[in-house]
Amino acid sequence: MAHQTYLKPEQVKDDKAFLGGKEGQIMGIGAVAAVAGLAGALGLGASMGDGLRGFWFAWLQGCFLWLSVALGALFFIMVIYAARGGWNVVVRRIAEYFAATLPVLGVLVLAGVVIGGAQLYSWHPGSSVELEHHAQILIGRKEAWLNPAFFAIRIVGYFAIWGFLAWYFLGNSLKQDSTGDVTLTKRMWTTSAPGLVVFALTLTLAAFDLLMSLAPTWFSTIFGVYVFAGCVSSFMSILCLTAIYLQGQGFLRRSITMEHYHDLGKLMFAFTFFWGYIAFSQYMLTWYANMPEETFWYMFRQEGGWENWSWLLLIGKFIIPFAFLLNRRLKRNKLTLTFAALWIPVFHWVDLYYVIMPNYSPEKITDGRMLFTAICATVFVGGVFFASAAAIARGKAIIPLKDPRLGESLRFDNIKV
Amino acid sequence: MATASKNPQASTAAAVPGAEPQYLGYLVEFENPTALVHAAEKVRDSGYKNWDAHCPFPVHGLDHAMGLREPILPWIVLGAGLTGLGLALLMQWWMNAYDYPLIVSGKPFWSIPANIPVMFEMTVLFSGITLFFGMLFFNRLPQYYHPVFHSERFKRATTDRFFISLLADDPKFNREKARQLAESLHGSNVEVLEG
Amino acid sequence: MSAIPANNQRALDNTVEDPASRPQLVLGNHDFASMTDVVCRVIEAPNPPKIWTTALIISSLVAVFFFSLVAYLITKGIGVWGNNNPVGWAFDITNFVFWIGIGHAGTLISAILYLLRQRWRTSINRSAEAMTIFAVVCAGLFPLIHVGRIWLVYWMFPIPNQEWVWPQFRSPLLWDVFAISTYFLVSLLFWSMGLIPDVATVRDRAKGYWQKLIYGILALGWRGSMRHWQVYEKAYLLLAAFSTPLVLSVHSVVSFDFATAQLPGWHTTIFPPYFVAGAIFGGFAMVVTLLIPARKIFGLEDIITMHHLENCAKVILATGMMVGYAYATEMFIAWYSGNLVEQFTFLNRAMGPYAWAYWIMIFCNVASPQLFWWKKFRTSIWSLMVVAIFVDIGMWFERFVIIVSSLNRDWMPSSWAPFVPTWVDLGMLFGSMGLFMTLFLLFCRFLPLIAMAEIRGVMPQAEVRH
Repeated sequence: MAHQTYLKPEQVKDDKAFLGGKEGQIMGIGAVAAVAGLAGALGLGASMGDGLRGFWFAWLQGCFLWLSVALGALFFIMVIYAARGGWNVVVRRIAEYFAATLPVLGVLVLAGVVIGGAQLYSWHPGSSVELEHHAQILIGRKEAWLNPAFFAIRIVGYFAIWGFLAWYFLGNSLKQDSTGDVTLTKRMWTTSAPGLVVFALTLTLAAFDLLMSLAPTWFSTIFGVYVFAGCVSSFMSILCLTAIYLQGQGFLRRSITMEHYHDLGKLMFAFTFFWGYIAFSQYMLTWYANMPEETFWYMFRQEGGWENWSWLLLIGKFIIPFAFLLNRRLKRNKLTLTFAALWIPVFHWVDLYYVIMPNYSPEKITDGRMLFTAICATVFVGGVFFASAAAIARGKAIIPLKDPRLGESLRFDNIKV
Repeated sequence: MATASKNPQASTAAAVPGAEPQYLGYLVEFENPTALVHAAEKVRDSGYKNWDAHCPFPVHGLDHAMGLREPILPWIVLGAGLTGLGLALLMQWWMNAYDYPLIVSGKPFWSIPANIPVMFEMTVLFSGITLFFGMLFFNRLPQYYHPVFHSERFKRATTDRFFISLLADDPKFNREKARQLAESLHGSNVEVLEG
Repeated sequence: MSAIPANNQRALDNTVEDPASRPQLVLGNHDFASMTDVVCRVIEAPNPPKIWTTALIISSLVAVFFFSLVAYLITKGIGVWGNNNPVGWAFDITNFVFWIGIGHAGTLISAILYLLRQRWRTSINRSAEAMTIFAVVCAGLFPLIHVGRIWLVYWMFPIPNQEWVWPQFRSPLLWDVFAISTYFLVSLLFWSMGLIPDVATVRDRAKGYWQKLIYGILALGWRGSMRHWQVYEKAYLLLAAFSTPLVLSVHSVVSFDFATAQLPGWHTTIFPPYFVAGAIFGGFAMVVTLLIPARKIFGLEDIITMHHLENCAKVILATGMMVGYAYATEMFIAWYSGNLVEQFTFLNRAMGPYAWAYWIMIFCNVASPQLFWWKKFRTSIWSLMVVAIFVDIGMWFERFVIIVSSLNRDWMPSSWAPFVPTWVDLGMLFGSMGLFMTLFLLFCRFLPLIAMAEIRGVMPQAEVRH
């Protein structure tokens, strides 16, 4: 039996638990990436000659990728508390910083839907998209829900709730760093369960609003769960990558062990599978019943070049990561795990592109400018995301220092539990 | 069932009058899992081959202490699962699209989305059956006779006692060395298995 | 034997949550031997508890009644049920989905909680798995007799028949055949595998000749060998890993029976995960309904503790919220779709002829579990029992609402017709409970009700010190 010596909770603060200057570097790189990405997206978007319509689609795509990560983080934090989890304490603070960027992302999303709303959403009164007669009737029936003012209010509401939850958990967790007060953990245990209820409702409605209403006559009850599955798997991957990066820079070298990575790998696997299950359910039921009012959504995505994108999604987002992460050894090897953790968010991006872009143009899959505009926009929001996470982390520990379950997390051993 | 004697010195005494009992090995008893793990490490390092540890639940770390290798069962199960998957696909194609094609609700003869549930179920079915019977096969179960069953004390191996058995059918078995090894394990009891 | 090191004052109430430690899973200062005694006493007691005997007599009579009704149905035809046109599916399929759902909690506890390293599952997994198998037996009977000509039931299997026509694999009903048979077999194997070491314990303690012989044969010669344990644990882990997607697939496939159709109220994409959540919800309620009396009758309060029941209550609350989420999403999307038929169906559910069933469902499934937000109700036997029974009822009504309220008023008002159950319908619902209880009671008395080997692994004495 391996006699491994584990770090003691009180030793964690000496395990390079503060960014100590590194945050400046991350913020700098983030700012440069954001400016370059925005400039690229604007330039390419303007070159498409459609009055920045493509740019706003790319904006939404970029925002939603990082929003997925932040929402996945918020879910992860609350589910840890609700389940009285212990193994994950050492990586929880990173998730808390990710979730705390939600207000910043909210500003970007709000700017997108307010300024670019008429370009993005064909239900918008200012939209220039010519709707068919039946679509006008259907949209007319839901005008109480899909109108610019109420829409904007809802978006503000979602982000207010998420921002509140994220900062509530981050704040209490930080307070515990200095006081070590156990009642804070108890309080968060109690709030996490209702927090999850609110989270589920807001995430679903936000998915309906931001993504589903891009095709305003289309509806699918599972859509919120579909978006949720993508959020969690890409968050797990980004968390994994961040931890690997930080350890590579000398941070938390002994606090986070292969055991934690193994569990993150398992969760990446589980939510990849879950996404496959949800995506199959939605597709199969639509395909089987074959009713025009919902099948058209998939028809758009099986014609005009989009069918290749659909295959890419099936193989890249489900089959490859599923087969890859089945093996325990590949999950317990930092190199192969890094590969998987890079792969999954890339294909979550492919998934978002698949959901969003056919609404921009069902025919224009071949236009490479759209793809690059979306990439630039993603770099832009990514820069903002990491720069704000680093700014929030300035001067604070990147691991909970006095969490009552920190010891359990440090000693955690996956195989012998 | 032969009654086993309580200490190795008395082992020459016949358990059944008139018949010389066959000598089968040693059984060392422990009271807790920690003692068992330490003893197992010792036996592993002694190079003895035909020995085993017995416990009423899988003791964590004991497999490492015994130097056991990872079982290959998972790979066989992977093969079985893929077989089930392939067979299900082939079966559905052959039955519905090739041998007796039939138009149903306007779907193509060979409708992959509609075939996925059965493909999945057959993957799990084949894997599950392989897992269960593979476990029995690799463990050589059922096996209703085993030297350790001669011991009355061994009945507690499924409740609250921990044992190490050193068996005599090891080709390199040396009775004297085995006795020394058995006694060096600091068990709460050492017993000769015979029957 | 080593004594339990933790302080005993706290061990008395293991529902007190302390962030700095984990609760004791076995109470009463048990060591391995005394814990084994407690569990094996159920089997070894010369006379079973009187209440057990009484319950067995009653439930086996009900089971006999059930089989008589099955015989009656087979001889007369399924016209003895209240099914009509358009309500071609009614109590039969409601009962089928209800029982299949009950089974899902067992697999959740034995497989999913195992993968999630929830150590408290060890006290309840054996009985929950048994419950799974018996529930699947009850479930499987309903579609079997619903086919009408039961003697031709082998046409559903991919074996050659006299017409040389193969099964039609594009039908969700055929997926059901595969899903349910796989589920039954894999659950049975999983359960049997868990039983092997525990049956060996019973074998080694057996006094009588027949007990020695029968448990001896069933134990397969298990000798607690670590070489065996290693393969066994690996196989157990993988079986859990396969059972997890299996349990998702089974109720998803059941939901496909409805959701692939174009019928408003049936065709909605959230059905697969919603059915799975509902199944676990109803199944956990049944676990609580069965275990509260069982722990009392067989004196297992030290092993199935209040902590375990409280965790069940939490799962019931969580899955109940998911079910509520699905109801709400369906309602919202019915409105949001702008589709008039869809909107009518959902209004009809809440205000039409079966509104009473709908509101029973809402009360039982959404309202009653809300009590479990309070610890007081999660840790009281009476509130646990009452809510669990409400949920059992509510989950039956959920399937009834989905099936009957959608079918009885579909597209064309001229083809609307109400459904009224006959006495055979009601008798079969009641009778299937007798069959289920009979099997469960027999299991309690003749096989180890608690996974002893797994419990030992989570007791403090199992720890290896260095």
